Amino acid sequence: MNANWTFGRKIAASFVISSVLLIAIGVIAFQSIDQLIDASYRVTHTHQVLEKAASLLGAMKDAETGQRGYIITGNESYLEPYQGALLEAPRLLKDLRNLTSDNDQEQKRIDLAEPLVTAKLAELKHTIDLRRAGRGDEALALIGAGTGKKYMDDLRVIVHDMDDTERGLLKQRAVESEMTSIRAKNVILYGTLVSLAFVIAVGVLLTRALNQQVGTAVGHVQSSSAELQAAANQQASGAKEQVNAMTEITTTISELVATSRQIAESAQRVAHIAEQTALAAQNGDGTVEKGQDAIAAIRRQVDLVVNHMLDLGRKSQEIGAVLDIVAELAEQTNILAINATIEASGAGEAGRRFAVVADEIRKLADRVAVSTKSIRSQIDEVRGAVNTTVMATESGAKAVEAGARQFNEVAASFRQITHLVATTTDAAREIELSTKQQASAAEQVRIAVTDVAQATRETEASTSQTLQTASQLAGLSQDLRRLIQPLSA
Amino acid sequence: MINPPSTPWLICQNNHNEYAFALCDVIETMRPLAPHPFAGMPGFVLGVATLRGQAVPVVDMTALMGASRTAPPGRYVTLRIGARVVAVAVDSVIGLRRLDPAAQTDLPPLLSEAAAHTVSAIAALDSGLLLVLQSAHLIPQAVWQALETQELAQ
Repeated sequence: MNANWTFGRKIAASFVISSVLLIAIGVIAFQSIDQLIDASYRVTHTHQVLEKAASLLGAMKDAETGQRGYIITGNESYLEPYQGALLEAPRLLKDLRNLTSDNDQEQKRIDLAEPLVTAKLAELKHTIDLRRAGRGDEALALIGAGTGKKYMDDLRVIVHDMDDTERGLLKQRAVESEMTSIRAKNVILYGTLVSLAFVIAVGVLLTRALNQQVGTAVGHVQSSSAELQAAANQQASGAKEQVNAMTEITTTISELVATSRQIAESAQRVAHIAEQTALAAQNGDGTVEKGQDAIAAIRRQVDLVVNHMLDLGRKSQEIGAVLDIVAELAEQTNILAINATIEASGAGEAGRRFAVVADEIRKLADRVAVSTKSIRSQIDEVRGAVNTTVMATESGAKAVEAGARQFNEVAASFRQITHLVATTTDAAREIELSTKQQASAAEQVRIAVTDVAQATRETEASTSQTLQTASQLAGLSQDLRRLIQPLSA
Repeated sequence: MINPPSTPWLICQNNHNEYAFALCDVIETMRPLAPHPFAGMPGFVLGVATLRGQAVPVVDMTALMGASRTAPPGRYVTLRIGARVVAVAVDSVIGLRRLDPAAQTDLPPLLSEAAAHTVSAIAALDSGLLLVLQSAHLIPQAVWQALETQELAQ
């Protein structure tokens, strides 16, 4: 039996197989009993044929006995058997023909017996007629001729053959009936035993399967019941926490409603202040335009200063070029003076005075060189200062330019501020409207949350009911386990 | 050549040191001209410069003293070596100074701080140049300050 079948399917299969076995046993028993009945019918039929054949021979004997009594006595009362045979013999022949209609051999014998019966009855009638006509002697002579006796002898042989045949059939059918009876008894006995063994085996298997499957299922039900209890406990705990959370949410939403109303009032104030800011921004825009004009004038003055300083720088550069020439001359003079001193020293005493003059020239050249260096240093400082001033002025010009740009940006910012303030005013009004709607929505949410809190409390109650049901389910599963397993198991 | 006691000396400055050349050996001072290096020249020679139409070897005073030059020379001092001329590259030429003849013997010779192999190389190349350089002096800082004070007093 397939292990994957359901329990109901297994039971149904067992019933189907048991029913098939019972039907098979019933069909075989029915056939055996039918064959037994048929055999009994055939035996009875054979007995009827034997009885009819014996009756035919007896009727013919009675007719002959009545004929002989009448011929001897002339008394009509002796003809009663004969009269009875006249009526009985054709009927018996007809019955025999009907009873042996399935037996060709017997039909042929009846075909032989029927003219013999007719001829015997005609011979009897002729002799009786002769005796009634007073011709008793002729009747006796006819009897003495032995014709009638031959008819009876032939008829006896035929009836005897029929009797032998029917008794053989009777013996054969008795054997068949016995065999059929034994087979029927065997079929009923062994079929019943096989069916009983099958039912017992199926019962044992089903009981084991029931214990195993239902036991496993009960175990699962117990485990699930325990989990359901734990889940119900958790759900109950969660529902309590949810109730507390819902209460907190309700409080928070109430605060949110109050806050939204405050925001709406603040947004109203913001819109009012934004309008004032827009007015101030327009005034600032005018002030910035005046500042832009002043900065443009400063910028022109700065450009003039830069040009003058650049001229000063160029003049200083020209002075530096002149100083280079002076320094070059001083250096060359120094070299020449030293060389003159050397030459004068080589001239002996005559060159001494010239050497003094040359040395003085060298000293003068040195002083010129020093002064030139000093002037160059001062000129360099002047040029540095000019450069610094130019750079500072250019930085100032750039700063003025940047200031002008910043003023432009400030003006643009003021215009943008005006635009933004207008936008802010609109936004503040929208915020005021939205906040009022938000307050209304929050109020609706608070009501909804209150409903949810109520639903949560109901859920908590349902969870308690679930917990109770889970406990009952666990008890029921234990009862079911006790039903399929003994307590000792 | 022995410097006469009353002869002034040419004072040059190089690498923060002052040197005194005997004026009888000095031809002239001039701005430096570009020297042309030649193969196989010693380390203290900068090359050959054309001075007054004559090819003159240029000796670097800084290299002669065993140091490395960090700035180009400011002056050439041409020295008379017999019939030949040699230029010495220095930072600057200060001028003429008269030295006390008694103190001249205390002044260290110019090559006193030069390396021995440098002196050997100069001797191998030009013994006349060696004599001229040996007659020059290295002026210590104390002597130089005394000379400057005397110069300012005059």
